[in-house]
Amino acid sequence: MSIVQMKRLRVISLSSETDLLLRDLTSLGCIELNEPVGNPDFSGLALPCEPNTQDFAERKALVKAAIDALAPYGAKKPLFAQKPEVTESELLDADFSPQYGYAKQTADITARISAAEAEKKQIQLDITSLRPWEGLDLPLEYRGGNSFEAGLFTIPTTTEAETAIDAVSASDIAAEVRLASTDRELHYMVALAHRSASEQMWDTLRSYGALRVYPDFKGTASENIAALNARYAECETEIASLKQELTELAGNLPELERYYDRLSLDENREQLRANLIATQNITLMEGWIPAEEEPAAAAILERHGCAYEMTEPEYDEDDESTQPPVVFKNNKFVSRFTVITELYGMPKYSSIVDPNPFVAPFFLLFFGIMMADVGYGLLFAVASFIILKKAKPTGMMDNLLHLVMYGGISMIIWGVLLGSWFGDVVQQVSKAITGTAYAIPPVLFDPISNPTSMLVMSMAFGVLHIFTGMGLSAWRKIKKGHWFDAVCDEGFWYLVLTGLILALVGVSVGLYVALAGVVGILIFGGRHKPTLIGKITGGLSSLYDISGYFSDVLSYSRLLALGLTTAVVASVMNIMATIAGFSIPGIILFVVVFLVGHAFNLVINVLGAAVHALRLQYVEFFSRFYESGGRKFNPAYNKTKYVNIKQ
Amino acid sequence: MFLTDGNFLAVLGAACAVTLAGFGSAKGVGMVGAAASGVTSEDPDKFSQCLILQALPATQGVYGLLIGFLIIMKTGLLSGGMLDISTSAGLQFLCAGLIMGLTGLVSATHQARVCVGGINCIAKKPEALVKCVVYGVMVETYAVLALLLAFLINNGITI
Repeated sequence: MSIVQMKRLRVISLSSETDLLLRDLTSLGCIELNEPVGNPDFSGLALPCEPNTQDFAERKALVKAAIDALAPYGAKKPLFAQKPEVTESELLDADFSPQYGYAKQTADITARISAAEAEKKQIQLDITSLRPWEGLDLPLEYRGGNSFEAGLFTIPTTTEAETAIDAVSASDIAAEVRLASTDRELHYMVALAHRSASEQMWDTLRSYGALRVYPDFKGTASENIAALNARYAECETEIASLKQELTELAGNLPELERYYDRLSLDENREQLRANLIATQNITLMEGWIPAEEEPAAAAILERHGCAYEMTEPEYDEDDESTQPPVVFKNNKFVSRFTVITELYGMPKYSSIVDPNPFVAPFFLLFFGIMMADVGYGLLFAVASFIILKKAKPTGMMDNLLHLVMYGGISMIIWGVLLGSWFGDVVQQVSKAITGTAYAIPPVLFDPISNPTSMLVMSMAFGVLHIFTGMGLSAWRKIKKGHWFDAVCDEGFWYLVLTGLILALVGVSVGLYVALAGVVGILIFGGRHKPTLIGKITGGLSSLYDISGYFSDVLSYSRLLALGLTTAVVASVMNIMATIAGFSIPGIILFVVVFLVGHAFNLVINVLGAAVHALRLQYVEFFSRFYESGGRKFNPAYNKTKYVNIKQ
Repeated sequence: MFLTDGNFLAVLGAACAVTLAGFGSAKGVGMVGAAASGVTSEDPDKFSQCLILQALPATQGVYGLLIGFLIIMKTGLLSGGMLDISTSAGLQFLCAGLIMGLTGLVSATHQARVCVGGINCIAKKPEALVKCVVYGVMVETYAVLALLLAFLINNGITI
């Protein structure tokens, strides 16, 4: 329910103990280390540590490549597999040199497979280029002897081969031309000429578009093709045996994954050194720690024989860069929703207000109203529950699935209240089967036939949301001792708004209440302005904020609009699904349209509902009290990808 | 004279809602998709984030479809027996349809411009996705207001 109180931590430790100390602090997982703000007196004695992560990074890359290469040969992982659990010491103390060997072996095998595949491709290209000459029993490198010349050439098929052959024969020279083969584009031909006649022959041939070719092979085409085919088969057997080796190596996949995580942890720990300054014998570190973790951290620091202090932070209210980082402390339910505030941007440490306990219920409420449907809600809640039970995810996935589950429950509640069970499928189906429509009556009202009630309800929730925001702002002012500000800024506005609402509802005293508020605002609205004229105009301009309140309340009508979208599109899908009546083709159509249509409706509207529910928090709620500009608390902790560390 | 035929005007209203809003959404989603392809060519891992931004201008088309459906449901066209609608009622249906259609058309294209800016933003800073999505959603306020009014008008028309 609060922004956690931070303390500034300063530690001096023996350089020999630093690695073990960092390991224990990372394990504790709640200390953020920053670059020391630097005592300039020490700059001649102590130097910033330079982390050496290159070795870890290279090994990580090697192991990752090995994992990716071996994954297709390993055991198939089920879709929602639980990550294996290891103890910290199993991970950080084990010797992984065999795994390093396996990774190198895998890299070597993968390289050889690539080379063999490349060779196969080249062989195919060569065979394709040799095919046209396959029928020719002339060695391809043959250029003739002392007195005559031989050569291979091609002519485009736009000319008939006969034409070229006849042209050379007709020219009555000691030359002959024969056709080896033809494909779609070219004739492949061989020419033989006495050296005296060769130039004339080539001139004749060139007039038909002849191009000489010089295949880079020895022996006849068919000999070469046979040799290449043999080599191709060799490559294939080599690849097959290499893949077999990979399959054997794939048994080491779990240990390789652990090794990868070990390297990640080592790399991160080494990277922490960038925040330390050290002399030969001692190391200085600075950072932040939540006040409640003080005893646990103290125990570790004592154990490593460090000198340390944890002090109250000194910071400037208006300068964010001096303020401690921000982390929230809430109960398990509310902390799922912390991500909403984090996505917007952390509040300033000095703003004391933790918005999360209010964001959580309002977000769920608005999401539930906009996506009100029992069927969709059941889908969400049950699916996420099953995945949580089976896969037991951690971190962000765990959070997200819980949010989906709570959202689903909210959808179910509002679906029951507004009478939406997969839209109006009960009415449509019962009408199609029996002729009369039986409906499950909504507990509150049906939004489609009674939109005004829904609109009023939406705006009522809106007013509640806005009042909560104002209340938080007032609370902060009171906590800091600015009673008068709270009364002037929030108190009078409460009077005005409540009075107006009462007057709308018909309670006549509301007008007087509102009037009292208006007078208060006019008088005190400009109290910060220096001149009398300024005070008057300040009061008037503060009163003008009423338009802001009106537009904010009106903005909540989107709850009605989006709720209607979900309900009406669902209804439309149901009408389309039951259009063929109660018959065999009708039932088939029903099933198909029902599944596809409601899936479409669900996807489109969940995105819209989530985004609009977020927007209502960010724009209408946060604008009342939120002071952004804070920095998220970033403690060093053991972050693993493939395994979970047993606590 | 077909311009005084109430039935025609009502269906025209439904048609305007769907086509104009659909036109806007199609153009908008297309604009964002083209930008998204560019980002994906550099970094295919950003696919799902770009997809979220691309899906934002799509909602105006859905709203238009909604109003179109509501009009044809109210006039009885959907169930096969279209009621006899007076010119005045027909014109009112036309207004309802035009409200959603025109607003959907313009807001979708402008929302797409914001989303394209969002895609450029997440190309450099993928962690800013939600902020860019919220920028896009701000434009949708007006489509939502138009939907609301079109719905209320459609509800209130007496045939």
